[in-house]
Amino acid sequence: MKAEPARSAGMEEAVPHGGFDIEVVIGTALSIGVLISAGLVILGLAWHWLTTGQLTFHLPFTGANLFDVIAQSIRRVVNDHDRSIGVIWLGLAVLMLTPYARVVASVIYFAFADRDWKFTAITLFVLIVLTVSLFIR
Amino acid sequence: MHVSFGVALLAAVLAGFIGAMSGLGGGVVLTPVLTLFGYDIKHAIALSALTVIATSSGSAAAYVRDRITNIRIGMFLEMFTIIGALIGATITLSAAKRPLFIAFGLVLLFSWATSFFQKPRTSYHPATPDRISRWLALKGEYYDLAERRSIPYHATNAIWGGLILFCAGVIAGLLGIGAGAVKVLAMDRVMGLPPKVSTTTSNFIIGVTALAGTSVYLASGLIDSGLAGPTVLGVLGGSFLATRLLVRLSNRTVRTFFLFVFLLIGIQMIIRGIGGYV
Repeated sequence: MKAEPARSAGMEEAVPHGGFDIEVVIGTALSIGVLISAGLVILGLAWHWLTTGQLTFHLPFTGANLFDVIAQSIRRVVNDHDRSIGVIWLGLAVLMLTPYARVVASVIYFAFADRDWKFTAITLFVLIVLTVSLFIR
Repeated sequence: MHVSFGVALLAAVLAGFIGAMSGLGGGVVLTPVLTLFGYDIKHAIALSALTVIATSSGSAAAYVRDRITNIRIGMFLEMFTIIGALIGATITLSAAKRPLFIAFGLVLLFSWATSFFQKPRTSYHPATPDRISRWLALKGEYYDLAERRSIPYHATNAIWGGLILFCAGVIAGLLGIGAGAVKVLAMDRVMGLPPKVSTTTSNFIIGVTALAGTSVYLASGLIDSGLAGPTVLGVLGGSFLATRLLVRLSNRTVRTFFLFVFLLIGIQMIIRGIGGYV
């Protein structure tokens, strides 16, 4: 980490909860999520191009929720049925899971580190609505 | 009509680039450009919602680590935006195409206007908190690099802010965009937050809001997984390129030029909607 003395006074106050630094956890989770997602999509596209000679394919996610997409892409990769498409789907699923994981991290933080029941309720509400919406099909 | 890999990638790079250059986000550019290539507006909106998750998560990561984003205020407002986004996206599924074009054009013009007529504020005066803001401790402090000091602040009008953010969520879900202009305006002018906190917290909220909208589009089968790959990569690449370039070019002319591009895109969307050239 960069040393910025002018900021250190404020930083101590911002990290009161026994090492669980919410800002660093969320920031890292977001960037790792986007990087893994982009990496998987690039890998899948390259693989698709190498095996089929084409980059364009049209395959809508019909009647699928996020959890179907994950299950189907794993099945594709395991059963050797258009594996490259399975990898691309996994990349897109990771992208959608990135903000979701961020909300999960916030719930854990407010419930166990900050022990703020009001914000535990608020973040839990957001998590429940998102979970339900990701289950719809 | 389908578009090819190349068209999707090109449209996405352009969208990411113009979005970051103008500071208004890539979602509002992607859909108009894709429709110019004959792609269906609803399918374009669905793809766009997915790319918004990528761009907002990417830039939010940096802002969160810099401790400018207010996570508490962000989470409070997300309660309103996700409900709005679910409603907005559901409306799009059954909406006619022409009103979508017109709505898109109007939102573009609004974003353009807020950006064009915005006067940079010289100083920040903390607002008097209302009861809800005090009860939920919607406050914070950030270190301002320009002023070289810590700036404490406090939110006010929490419920009004929440209601406007609900509307911003509806727009975001309806059109598959971030609707950052509306969010920033509400946090800045109604909730009395410092501009830097408003912009970064808005960005933080956009990812989760876009996910709510995307979930509806995913279930409806509007997202073409073959085009989603190149579009996501293109938008990420375009905005990365622009942020690199902005460091060197940071003058007003560049921004004014891209705002002008924005205005043109907005006007042509309205004309197409009214004239029925969809």
